[in-house]
Amino acid sequence: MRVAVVTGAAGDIGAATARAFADAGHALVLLDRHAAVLPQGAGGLALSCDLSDPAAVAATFAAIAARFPRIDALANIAGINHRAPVCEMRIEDWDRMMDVNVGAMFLTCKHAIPLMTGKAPAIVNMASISGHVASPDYPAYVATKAAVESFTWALSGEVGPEIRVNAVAPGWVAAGFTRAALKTGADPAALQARAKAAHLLGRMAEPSEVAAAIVWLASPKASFVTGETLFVDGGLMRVH
Amino acid sequence: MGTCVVTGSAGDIGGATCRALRAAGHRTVGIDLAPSPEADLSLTLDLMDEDALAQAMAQAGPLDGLACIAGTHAMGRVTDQPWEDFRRVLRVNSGGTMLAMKHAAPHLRNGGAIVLMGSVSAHIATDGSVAYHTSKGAVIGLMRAASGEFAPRGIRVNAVSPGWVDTGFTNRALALLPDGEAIRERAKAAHILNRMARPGEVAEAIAFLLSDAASFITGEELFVDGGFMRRK
Ligand SMILES: NC(=O)c1ccc[n+]([C@@H]2O[C@H](COP(=O)([O-])OP(=O)(O)OC[C@H]3O[C@@H](n4cnc5c(N)ncnc54)[C@H](O)[C@@H]3O)[C@@H](O)[C@H]2O)c1
Ligand SMILES: NC(=O)c1ccc[n+]([C@@H]2O[C@H](COP(=O)([O-])OP(=O)(O)OC[C@H]3O[C@@H](n4cnc5c(N)ncnc54)[C@H](O)[C@@H]3O)[C@@H](O)[C@H]2O)c1
Repeated sequence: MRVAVVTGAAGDIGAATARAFADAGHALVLLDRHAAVLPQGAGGLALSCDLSDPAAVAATFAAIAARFPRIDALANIAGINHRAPVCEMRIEDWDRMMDVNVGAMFLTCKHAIPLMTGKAPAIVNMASISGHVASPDYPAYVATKAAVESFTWALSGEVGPEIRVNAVAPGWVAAGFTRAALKTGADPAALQARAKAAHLLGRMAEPSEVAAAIVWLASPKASFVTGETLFVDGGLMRVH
Repeated sequence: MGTCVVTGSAGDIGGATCRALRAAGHRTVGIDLAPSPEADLSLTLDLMDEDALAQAMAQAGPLDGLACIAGTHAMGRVTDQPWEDFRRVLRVNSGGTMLAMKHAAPHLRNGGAIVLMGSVSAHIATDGSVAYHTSKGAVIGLMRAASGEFAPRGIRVNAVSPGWVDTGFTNRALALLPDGEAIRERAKAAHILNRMARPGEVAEAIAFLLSDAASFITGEELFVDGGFMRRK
């Protein structure tokens, strides 16, 4: 049975990805700062961990290795956002963004790669269209998501041909802070209207649609795809 | 699951695509100059023959998907390529793709999908294949344009861009070169995965983009290039 490690698994996209890996027959290792829940019928373990803490990540992967000597797929989905224009951003907030969105990915890769010794192992990282567009007031988020892609490309060269490394870049997803705004924001209808205009497909993505792309990239069906960013953006990048 | 039309279905990648789509439960209709043994229904015609193409698409029936894989190649540089060779490559690779979409459109169900055949050749260049590089750049532009045009019907349009694929197409191109075998070895090393793609690996990416698993992917070029674009 293939073993998939999913970070950010207590979040919306992470949970959908865990479900999709389970449906594709994987045992799961779910990692998040908060308590993640194994999908019904799935085997594996869920561990709480601040993935930006190097010692905690090391201890977590020691615990994983004790249960699973081999990891086949790693999906780095944990991430945070922070709104602040450059002139108002504190360096502490900037550092936190880098530590979580980039640092945690680096740390999980560092500890997972030695365990990725099976047939056709693969890593998928969470980028975003935000790494490619001018998002006013989100400079740190944009920078971290661009860094996720550059890291993906560098790592693909480093661990290939044995391990494939790719990224997905979603547009808007009905998940995380976007979903929160849909549920409790001042004007959910206006948000949906903006999503409709922003995407060729006239809507934002469901978490399961991003999850399906992640699971495909991690599967042996994508055996010749590496160093790639797959946009799961409903055509957002193509609209101007 | 419904019917998918595959152009270039007598070729290596087209044949593998028919196999992958059939394995995913589709009926496949192949359109090619030559008979397509891998398709459920093989229609032999020239994509440049619009009447025959319109008839073939109607005969193929209501469609879930279209994979435009037919392509051709001719050696030549800006300064020495015969105009007729240049035109022929552009007409087949980009024109044939355009016509296949045009005549499939009335038969494609809303919510269906189209995949075009790009190439890393739209992005990097080797000397002596001017027409091919030009045509693949055009295919990527065509994909982006068509993704907007078809979006109101929920039809997704994407492209796959392979690096080197181990096919008869590649072997014929290498055979034209005096140092073909040395180039083949360099070509393998040009991929992070240290080899060329198998046709089936390109076919799996096409089948994915045609499937519901790719329901939020449109206007996208998926590189199936073993890391070719990342290796310098
Ligand atoms: N929602 C969108 O529109 C959207 C669009 C593009 C990309 N993304 C990206 O997708 C990923 C998941 O986002 P989501 O929308 O599901 O959000 P989410 O907030 O529901 O999920 C993020 C998860 O990451 C976890 N996490 C954050 N910091 C952590 C840390 N230090 N250690 C361990 N876990 C930590 C959180 O606890 C949370 O469960 C993020 O990387 C996000 O940037 C989201
Ligand atoms: N082989 C590679 O390394 C490689 C790399 C990148 C992209 N591609 C692309 O993949 C596609 C298929 O390549 P392949 O390697 O399977 O080549 P192939 O030569 O085996 O297949 C191409 C098929 O297209 C058909 N065709 C050509 N002109 C036609 C026309 N006017 N009407 C109908 N059918 C026509 C041919 O009969 C042939 O069966 C091409 O678009 C090619 O540019 C190939």
